[in-house]
Parts: sequence; C-alpha cells; structure tokens
Amino acid sequence: MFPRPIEKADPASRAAYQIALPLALIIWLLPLIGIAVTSFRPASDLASGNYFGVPSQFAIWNYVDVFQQSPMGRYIWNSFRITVPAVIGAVALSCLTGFALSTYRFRGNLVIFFIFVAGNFVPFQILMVPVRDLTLKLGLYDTATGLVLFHVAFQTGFCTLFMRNFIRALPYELLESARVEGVSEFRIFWYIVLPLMRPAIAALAVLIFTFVWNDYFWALVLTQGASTQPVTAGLYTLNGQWVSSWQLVSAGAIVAAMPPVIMFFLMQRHFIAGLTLGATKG
Amino acid sequence: MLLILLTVYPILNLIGMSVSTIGFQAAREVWSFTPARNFQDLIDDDIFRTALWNTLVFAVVAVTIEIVLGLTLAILVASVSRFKGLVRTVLIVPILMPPVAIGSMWKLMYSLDFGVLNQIVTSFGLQPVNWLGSTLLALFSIIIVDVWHWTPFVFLILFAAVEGLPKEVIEAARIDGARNRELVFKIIIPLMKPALAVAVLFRIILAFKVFDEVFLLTSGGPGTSTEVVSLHLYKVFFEQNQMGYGALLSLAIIAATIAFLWVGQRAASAVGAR
Repeated sequence: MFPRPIEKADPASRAAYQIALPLALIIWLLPLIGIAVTSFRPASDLASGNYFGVPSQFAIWNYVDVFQQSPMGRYIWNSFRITVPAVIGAVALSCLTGFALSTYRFRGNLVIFFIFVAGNFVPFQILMVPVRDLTLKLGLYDTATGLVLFHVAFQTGFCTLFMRNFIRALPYELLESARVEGVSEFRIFWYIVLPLMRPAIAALAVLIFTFVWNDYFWALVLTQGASTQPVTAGLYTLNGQWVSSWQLVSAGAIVAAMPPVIMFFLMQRHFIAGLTLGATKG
Repeated sequence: MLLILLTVYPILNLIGMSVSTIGFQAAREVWSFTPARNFQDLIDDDIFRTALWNTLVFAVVAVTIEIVLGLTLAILVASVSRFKGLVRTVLIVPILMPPVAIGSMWKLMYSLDFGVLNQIVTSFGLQPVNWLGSTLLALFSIIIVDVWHWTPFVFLILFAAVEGLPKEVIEAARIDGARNRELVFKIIIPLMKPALAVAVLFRIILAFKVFDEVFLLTSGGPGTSTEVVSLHLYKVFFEQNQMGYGALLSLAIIAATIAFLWVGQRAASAVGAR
C-alpha cells in the first residue's frame, strides 16, 4: 500500500515527520495568523512600532470600529443580497438543465451541453465590455439584480456540467419504472430525481457560494458606490481610506472572509466532495 | 437559436468594435471605422508585449510550482494516518479567502518596514527586502501569493486521485521490490496523469486570467514589471476609455491564449509520446 503509513517508517524519519508537519502547517497559515493577530492589535501598538510582538491589549473594539466607521454592515448585506439569490438561481437552473441533458435524447443535446461547458473556458476579457454595455442598456448597471443575473449566467455552465454528470450516474431503471407506471415527467423530476440529488445540490451550493462571495472582478466592473457594492469591492475602497490603519484593514479582511469560511466548516464534507467531483468527472 | 444569438452577437459586436474608434459626442456613442489605426496601436503597444511576457512567466512558473507542491503534499498527506482530516482542512483554507482579504494579508506580510518577512530577514542581520517595490522581485512575490492561494486547489484534486489509486498495483510493485522513488515516478505519477491533466488545464486557464492578486498588490507596478494582460486590458477600457482599441486588444489576448495552449499541448504530447 502506498503511500506507506508513517507508523511503519523507521524512527528517525518518523521524528522528522512529526516535527516537520506542524511546522509546515504553521508556515502555511502564517499570513492568516498574521492578519488575525493584527486585527486584535490596538492602534497605539502600531503607532509605537509594535507590529510583530504580542499585542499589549486584546483590541476587540477594532471590529466595532470597522462597523461604525464604514458601511461594512451595508457591504455585507449587499454580498448576501447578491450571493444568496445567485446561488439559488444557478443551482435551481442547473438541476433542470442537468436533468434534461442527462435523461432525454434529443437532437442538439450534445451541442447544448458543449455550449454550457465551453462557456467555462471563455476568457472574461471577451465578456467584460459586452456585459457592461448590456447592463447599461438594460438599466441594470450598479444594481444587485444585474450582478445576480450575470453570476447566475456565468455559474450555470459549470453547475450544469456538474449536475449532468451527477444525474447520469443515478440508476436509470428507477426513472424507467416510474415512466412505465405513468408518472408525469415533472413528477419524476420532483419526487424521484430531486431527492437523490441532495448531496450534489449541497456540494454545488457551497462551492458556488464561495465563488460568488469572493468575486471581485465583476463587482468592480458592474457596480459603484456603497449602496450596491458587495463586501469584496467595498473592502478595496476601505483599504484606500485606511492606508496606515492596519488593525482596521485586517479586521475588515477577517469580517469579509468569515461567511465563506463558516460555510465551509459547516459543510466541509460536501465542499470537498463537490470540488473533486466537479473537477475529476468533467 | 436564442443561444446562438446570445453567443454570436457579442462576438460580432466585439469584432466590430475592434476595427473602430469609439468616441462620445452629446452623450451618444460615435463609431468611426479605423482598422489601420487600431492595428498600429497594437503594434506600438509596448506595455502589451511586456504584459504578455509577464503573464507567460507568471502562468508557467506559478502553475509548475503549484503542481509539484500540490502533488508532493497530496502524497505526503495521504501517508499521514492521524489528523489527516485536520491537515487537509488547514491546507484548504486559502482557497476560501476572498482575494481582497488575501491582498491585505500579503501586503502586511510583504511590508517593507514592518512586514513579518522583513522582520525575519533583518533578524539575520540582512538588509530588508523590498518585496513588492522592486522591479526584480515584484512578479516573483506575486507568484508566491498565487502559489499560496491555489496550491490547495491542486492538492485537493490530486489528493482525491492518490486516495483512489488501485492498491493492488502498488502492492504488487512493492512486492517486486520497487523503491519509494521508483513507485512515485514510474507508477503513481503515470497512474495519476488524468488528474494531473485536469489540474494543469484548470490552473493554466485561471493563471492566464490572473487579475485580482496583481491589481490588489501592485496594480502592475513598479513601472510595468508586474503588468499582466487582463490588467492592461482593464486599464485600456476603464481608465483610458479606449473602447475600440480595447476590443482589438481582447481579441489579441484570446488569440495569444489559444496559441499558448496549443503549443503547450503539442509540447506535452511530444513529451508523452517519447
């Protein structure tokens, strides 16, 4: 069996392993640890040059300051307002498209499928201008609706690929026997396929939540101002204002990163399943 | 039909723009047909050439490091038996971070006066290093950030592949007396080719689109030393408002990306055929 379990290695390399592993993990997390510590550092520490040592006080009020001195609450709300509908939209649509493309044989099935897949590989450079033009013409520029629509459109390609492959792996006889019983197609989808798709839906939802929440580019291109900007774009504006207030910049970054991280820990297993399934089965 | 309309129209529109100069008069777009001028602009655009080169260096170096590191980690972590879940979780955390947060994080790390990295460097009695402000180092510093951000993704894909390797084959090789190194290079890596191909493809495509990290850390500077194509395009469109030329530029970038992928694939299959 390879890799050979570490217990069976000789003592010297086992000891080396036991030291190297935690050390490597700490180095790996160093940027995160750094920003977390800085976010609890009082401003006076930074002013007196204590950038690196133990904070003199545990400055939890930095977080209060972030919310009071900036529209951070608003930004977070905008992010949810954009991310949640986009996730629901993309996942719901791709359940339907995935079902149709995996269970029905019709002319153009493969062509449509390839259009969905190819969409993933279109460089965003080609989309930037037409998309912005379109939002301006439709009056959706600088609205949450505009961002939601485009996120749904961009993510549905990947989601469809994922869902189609998942539904394909389901036992087809199940559908057949339901059809023989005379169950309508929509009821088959709703009562048989959908319950079986639950793990895939969960995995995809976590994945898309992270993608959309972390998106910065489209937020930059399609919105301006605190009334619609999500937290990623908002944080960038704030970083410009808080040039030397590292404790606020750090606390803001932590706040912005919280939702996807919490989402990940709540649904860790689904997330990993989703990422590997989507990537290796394509 | 609708699909064709939705995909073909923007492309035709873009091609139309690429041979025009678009100005604004009385809040209306005015298009004039100037293909020669746009192409001349493209030929004269030194920044574009620099950006193309930087993107190429960035993509090749970053993806190579990520694949090697990701594969090593995947094999190593698969052989840990205790705390495997914990180790995996810790390694994955960077993909969850919003790029904006990653930007602040690494700016803090790289800071000339008080960054952690320079604290370490000066504690050895060396001069502080200007990580993001020196033309030699800036691109390299951004590659490090990208490696930190994206190795977890490669790791996850390859880790799933390592865990799914057929045990009998490996057992048989071991009984036949294969050493660890032979196992890795002659058996494990060849068996993992499909997963490696997926990881490389995804990462190359994303690396060519790199925007966030560069925009947030250096905005292409100092000078043009970290200018990448997507950033240059963004500037042409949104800061200089050159819509027509920008459209031509985006077509040139797509052509370059396709050419690179094609050459890369030819090279890969040539190596594979040997």
